[in-house]
Amino acid sequence: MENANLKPISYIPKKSPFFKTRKFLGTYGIGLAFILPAFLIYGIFQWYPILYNFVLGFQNYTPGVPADWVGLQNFERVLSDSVLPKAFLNTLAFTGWALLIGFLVPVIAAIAITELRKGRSFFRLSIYMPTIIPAISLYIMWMFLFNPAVGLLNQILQFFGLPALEWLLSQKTALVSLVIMSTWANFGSTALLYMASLSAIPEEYYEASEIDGAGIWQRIRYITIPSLLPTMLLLLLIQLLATMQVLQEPFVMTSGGPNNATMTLMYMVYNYAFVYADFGRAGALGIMLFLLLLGLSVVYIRVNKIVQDEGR
Amino acid sequence: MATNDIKGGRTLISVFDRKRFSVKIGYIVCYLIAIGLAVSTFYPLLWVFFGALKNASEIFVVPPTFLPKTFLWENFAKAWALYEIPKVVLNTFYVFFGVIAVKLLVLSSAAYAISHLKVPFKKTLYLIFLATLILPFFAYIIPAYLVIHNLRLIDTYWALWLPAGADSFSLLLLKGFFDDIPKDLFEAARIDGASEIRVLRSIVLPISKPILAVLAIFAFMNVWRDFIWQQIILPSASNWTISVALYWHSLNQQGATKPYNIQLAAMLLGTIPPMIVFLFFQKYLIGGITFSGIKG
Repeated sequence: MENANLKPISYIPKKSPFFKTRKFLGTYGIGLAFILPAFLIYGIFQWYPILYNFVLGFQNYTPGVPADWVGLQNFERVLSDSVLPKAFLNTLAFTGWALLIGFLVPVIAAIAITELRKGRSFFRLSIYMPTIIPAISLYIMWMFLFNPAVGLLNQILQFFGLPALEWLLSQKTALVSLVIMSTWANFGSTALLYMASLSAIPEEYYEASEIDGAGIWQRIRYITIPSLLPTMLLLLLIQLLATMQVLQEPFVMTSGGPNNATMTLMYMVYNYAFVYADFGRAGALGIMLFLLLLGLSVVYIRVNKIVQDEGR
Repeated sequence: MATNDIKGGRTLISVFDRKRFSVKIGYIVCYLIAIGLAVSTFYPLLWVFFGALKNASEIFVVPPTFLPKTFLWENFAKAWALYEIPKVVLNTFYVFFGVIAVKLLVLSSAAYAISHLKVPFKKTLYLIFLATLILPFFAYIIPAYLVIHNLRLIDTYWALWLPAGADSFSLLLLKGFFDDIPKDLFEAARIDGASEIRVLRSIVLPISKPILAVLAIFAFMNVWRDFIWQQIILPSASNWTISVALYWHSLNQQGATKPYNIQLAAMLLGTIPPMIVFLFFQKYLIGGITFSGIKG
C-alpha cells in the first residue's frame, strides 16, 4: 500500500521543495481530508467561541459596530453589580442543595432497586420516566404541581398535616423548589449509571466477605461503596459543573425572582448579553465563571487522586 | 446459590441472608424505597394527566380534585390546534434530520480517520477534539451566539444543524466502535481499489448500525429537550420547534398564555414522541447511557 502510494511521485527529484509536501500529502492526505470537516465545525462553533470569550471580556462590543478595547472595565462593572453577590450565593446554594439531594437519592435508589428479586425492570423504568419528559414540558408540569392553591405538593403537605408552602413564589423556598424539580427529573439517569456499576461488582467479593462473616452493612461499607466510588466521583464533577451553570430552570420558572432569589451567575451572563446587549460584560462574567469552574475541576482532580491513592 | 434466579447472579444480600429476620426487614425497606420512588414519579404524571382533562374552572377548585368530574378529551384537540402542534413537530423533526445528517457526515468521517487512516499527530488531535467533552455548552453560549450572528445564521436551522457536528460524546462512541472493526475487513476492499469514501460508506457504516442508532436516539432526545439555544436562535414563530412553542404559549411571562388545562394537554402531547422513542429503543438508550456516562 505504502509503495503504491509513493509511485507517482518517485520521479520528482528528491531535493525538490515540493517533495516533502507531496510525500506528506501522499501519506496523510486522505486522513486529513476525512478529518477536515470536523476540524472546521469544531473550530468555528466550539474552539473559536471558547477562545473568543476571553477576548470579548476585554472589549466593548455591540454586534454590527467595531469593537473597542476597554481593558478591565467590564470586569469592574461586573464586580460592582449589586446583584452579583446574591447570584454567586444562589449559585453555590443551588449547587450545594443539588449535590446534597441529587447525589444521595440516585445512590440509594440504585442500591435498593438492584437488591429486588422481582419487578426490577418495572422500577427501573419508573425512575427513568421523568428523564424522558422534555425540559419545557417538565416546567409546565411543575408550575402546576407547585401552585400554592391547587398544586399537588401542597396537597401532599396538607395530607401529612403540614402547613402549605408558597414554593416558587416565596424567596425562602424558590431555589429549593427548583432543586426538587431537577432532582425529580434527573435522578433516574444517574441511578441507572450506578446500577450498571453495581452489576459490574464480581459476585465473589460478596461471597467471600459473607463467608468471612461480614454483615450487610459491612458489605455495603467495604464492597459496594468502594466499587461505586469511581463512578460517584466522576458524576460528582459532572453534576458540579452542570449545576454551577444553572440557567434554564430559573429563566423559565421564576425569571430569577422573587426579588432575585433565584438569580444565578449564568442567568446574569444571559441577561447582560440578551437583555442589555452588553456583550463585553457578559464575556467578562463568562471568563470569571469559566475560571471558577476550571479551578474547581483542578481541585477535584487533586482530591480524586488522593482519594483513589488511599483506596488502594 | 443455585436458587438465585435473578439475572447476573447474587447481589449484596444472599439467599441465605434473606432467611434472617433483620435482613428480611432490610429487604422490605428496599421494596418500600422502590415503591416510594415509583409512586413519586408516576403520581405527579397522573395528576397532570387528569388536570389536562378538567375544564377551565375545575382546575382551580380548592381543594383540588384528583379525578376530573367530566373527562374533557377535547382539551387535547384544543391544545393541538392552539399550539399548532403539527407545524412545530414537523419543524422539530426537520431540525432533527439535519442534525443527524451533519453528525453522520462530519463525525463518522472524522472517527474513521482517527481510527483507521494515517493522520499526523493523531493522538494529540483526538485529545483536542475530546478536550471540551465535559465543558457544558453554556460555558461559551454567548460567543457561540455572536459567531452565529456574524455568519448571518440567526433564525435559520443551520444555526442548530452545523454546531451539532461538534459533538465529542458521539465522536468518542463512534471511534470506540470503529476501533473494534477488524482491519482485514476493509483491507480487501482497499486492495480491490475501493476508495476510502467507499470503504466508509459501504463497509464501515453498515456494520455500525447499532452505534448509529444510539447516536440517533440521543440526538432525537436532545433536539426535543434543548430549549435555551433554540429560543435564542429561532425568534420567528414560523420556525419554532416544540420546545420554543410550548414556552411561548405557556410560560413566557410577557405574552398571553393559554389556560392551564390546555397547557397541560399540550405539555403531554409534547412528551408523547420522546416517550414512544424511549419505549421502542429502551435497550439501546439504557445501553448508551451506561456505556458513556451521564449526559445533560
